Amino acid sequence: MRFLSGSSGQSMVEWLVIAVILVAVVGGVLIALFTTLSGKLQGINDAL
Amino acid sequence: MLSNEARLGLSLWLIGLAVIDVRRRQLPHALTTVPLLGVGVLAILRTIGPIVGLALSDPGWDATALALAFAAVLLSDTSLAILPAFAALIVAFVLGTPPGQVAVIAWLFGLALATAGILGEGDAKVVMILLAVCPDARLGLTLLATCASVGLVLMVWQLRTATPLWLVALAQDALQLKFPARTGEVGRLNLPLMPVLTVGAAIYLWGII
Repeated sequence: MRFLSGSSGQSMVEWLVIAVILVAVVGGVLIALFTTLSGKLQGINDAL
Repeated sequence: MLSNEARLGLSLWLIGLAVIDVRRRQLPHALTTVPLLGVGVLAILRTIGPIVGLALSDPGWDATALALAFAAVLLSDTSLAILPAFAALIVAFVLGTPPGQVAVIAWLFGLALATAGILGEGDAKVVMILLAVCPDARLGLTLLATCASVGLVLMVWQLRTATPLWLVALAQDALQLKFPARTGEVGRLNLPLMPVLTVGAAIYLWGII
């Protein structure tokens, strides 16, 4: 159990920055996708 | 929202860890691994409690999702960890509530970053404990924003106008799954993160935002 036995308090901050940027971009795309999809499905539902 | 005593306790715990991190670059197991195991075992007890007749508070599905995330932590040396991780996500998002979803995402994200060699194991455990105790998306976002802001300032301070090129190179490596744990990269900004996490958590805990 490397994760549980490890106790390093050092992190690679430059990689954290890129992780945050990637999460923000992917998260933004997913939210936009779900919002659009939800709107379209609501439109179909209203038309029925 | 947490009581004043709980906020004070969490703040003192974080300040203590920040001081230890700056001095030794290591975080003691007694203050990180033991509480994490405690949270995980409690989640398991709350999940199986109703089955074996233990009278614990109604756990809902959030405790089950967290117990599955804990199983992923225990199996993190093997690729089998993917199974409980996916199960945790499915339980949290299909059956759980938003606090459970936040806790599970934080546990799996922290575990993934530590396994990739980006986050120190001690730092990851602190983030996981914080978001299990206080499963609020605003806390997670505050921690992420604080780390990213400090990181970006340090990157600009080190390489100034070459920072975008640095970011592009890192993004290319990330998209090709060339993480530090695989490549053995040491990194230019390999820092003790606890002081930054402490500031981020303090901003949330004491209502500065």
